[in-house]
Amino acid sequence: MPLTQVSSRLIEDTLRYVLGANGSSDYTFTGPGLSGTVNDPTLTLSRGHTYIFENRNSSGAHPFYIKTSLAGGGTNNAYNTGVTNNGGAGGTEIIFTVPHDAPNLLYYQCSSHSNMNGQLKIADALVAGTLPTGVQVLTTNISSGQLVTGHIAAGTGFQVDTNNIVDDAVTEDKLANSINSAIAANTAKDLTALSASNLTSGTIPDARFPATLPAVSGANLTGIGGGITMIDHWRLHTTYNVPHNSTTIISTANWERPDSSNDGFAQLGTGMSVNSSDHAAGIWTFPSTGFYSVSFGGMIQNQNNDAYEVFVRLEATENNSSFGEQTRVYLSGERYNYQGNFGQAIIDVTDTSQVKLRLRVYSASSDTDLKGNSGRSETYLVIMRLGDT
Amino acid sequence: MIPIRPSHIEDYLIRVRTGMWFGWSDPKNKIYANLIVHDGGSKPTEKECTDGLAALQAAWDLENDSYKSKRRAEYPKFEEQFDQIYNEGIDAWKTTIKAIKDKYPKPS
Repeated sequence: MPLTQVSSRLIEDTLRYVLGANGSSDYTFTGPGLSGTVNDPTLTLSRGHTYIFENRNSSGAHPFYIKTSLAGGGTNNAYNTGVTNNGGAGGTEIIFTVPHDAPNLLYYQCSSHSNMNGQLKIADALVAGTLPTGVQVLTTNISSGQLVTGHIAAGTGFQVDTNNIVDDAVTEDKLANSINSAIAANTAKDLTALSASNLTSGTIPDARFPATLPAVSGANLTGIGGGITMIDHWRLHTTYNVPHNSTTIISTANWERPDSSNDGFAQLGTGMSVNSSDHAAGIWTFPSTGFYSVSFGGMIQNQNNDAYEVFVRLEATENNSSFGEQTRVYLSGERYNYQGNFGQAIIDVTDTSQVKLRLRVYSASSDTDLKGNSGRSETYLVIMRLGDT
Repeated sequence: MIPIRPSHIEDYLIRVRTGMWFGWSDPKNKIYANLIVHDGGSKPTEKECTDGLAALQAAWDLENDSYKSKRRAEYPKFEEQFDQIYNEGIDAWKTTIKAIKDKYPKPS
C-alpha cells in the first residue's frame, strides 16, 4: 500500500510491540521500554494512548487477548473497550486505545495456552496542564526556561519553599497592592507581638518616636544611663586664721574628701581635682564638661573680738584667668559664737581647661577663724554634675 | 556660747600667723611630727608649739575660770543694777555687789 499521508500525532502517540512465542509457555515482546526480547513482560499503559501489538505468531497458534481476568483462560473475560482485533494472530495487529475509564489492571493471555499471559498496568495519562497526584518531577529534569507561568497550577496547593527564594528576589512591586497598602498603614503586623530580638540597633529611627511617649512604669525604667554621673564632696580639715581687711584666696592645701567611718559618703565618678604644686592659687578643676551644681558652706568663729563679720565668695572663670564672683555668703556673730552659712551656684563647664572655680574669703575682724575639721564638714564644697552642657 | 579651752597645738598654730600657712600630712593624726608648712615660712619648733598652747590655756583659764569670770557671771545685768541704785540707794547696791565679791575672793 502506497504511503500517502502519515499523521505526526499518530507516530507520536502510538507505541508498537512485536509479539513472538517461547514455545507455548510465553509470549515474547519486543518494543519500547523493553531490553531486547522479554517473555511475558508486565507493561504499563497510559490512558488515552494507543498501543499496537503486532502478533507475528502463526495464524491460530497464539491468539492474543486483552482481558479483565485470567481466570478460565480461553476467550473468557475479554476486554474489548478500545480494542480492535482482540484475539488477533498471524501477523495481524491488535490495536488498544486505552480508555480513560479503563481499570487499573488488565491482562493479556493466549486463548489457546493459558500460561502465556502477563499484566497490563493502566496508568493515568499525562495531560497538558495537569500532573496526577503523587507524581514527582525532579527539578534536575526541568530544563532552564521550561517551567513558565502557565505550568503553575492555580489554587492553594502550590507552595514555594522560602529557602528557594533568594535575597531581594521578591520586590515591592511584586506584592499585592493590598499588602503594600497595609504596610503603609502600619496594619500589616500586630506590633504588640513583635519580639524584642527582632528590633535590632537602628531598626526604629528616632523620628518614629512620638513627641509624647506613652506612660511607662517607673519599675520598668532600669539601667538608664545619662543621669547623674559625678558627685564629689570636699571639706577643709584644718582651721586657719583668716587675714582681715583683704579678700584672700582659700588655698586648696588643707582639703580632703570625707573619710570618717559611718559618714555615708561615697564619691560618684571622677571627682574634682586641684593643682598640688600650686595650692595657693586655690583653683578647682572639673573632671569633664557639663552643667554642675556647686554648693559651698563655711563656718567661722572669733575668740577675741565681738561683732565679727566674714564673707565667702565662689568665683568662676571661663578663660582660666579672669575670675568673676558667682555667689557670696555672709557670716557674722558675737565673740566665741560659731556661725555658718552656705551658698550655691550652677556652673556650665564648656571646657575643663578654661572653666574653673575658686573660693575667696574676707574678714572685717582680726582673729577670725575659718573652721576646718577632719571629722565632719564645717567649711566644704559639694559638687554634682547635673548633665551635659 | 561657752568658749572652748585650747587643747591642741593646732589652737596655737592658728594664732601664730594668718592664712592657710600650715597643715597636716595626716589630718586624722594631728601630731607635731605630721605638721607641714605650706607658705614657705618658718616652722615652729615642737617646744614653741607646746609652750604656745600652754600660754593660750593660761590666758583662757584667767579669762574663763578665774574669780573675775565667776564674779562676772553672777553680777546682775546693768539695767538691774541701775534700777536697784535708783530704787534702793547706793548702799543697797554695794551690799549686792559685795556679796558676790566675797563669794569669789581675789587670790592674795
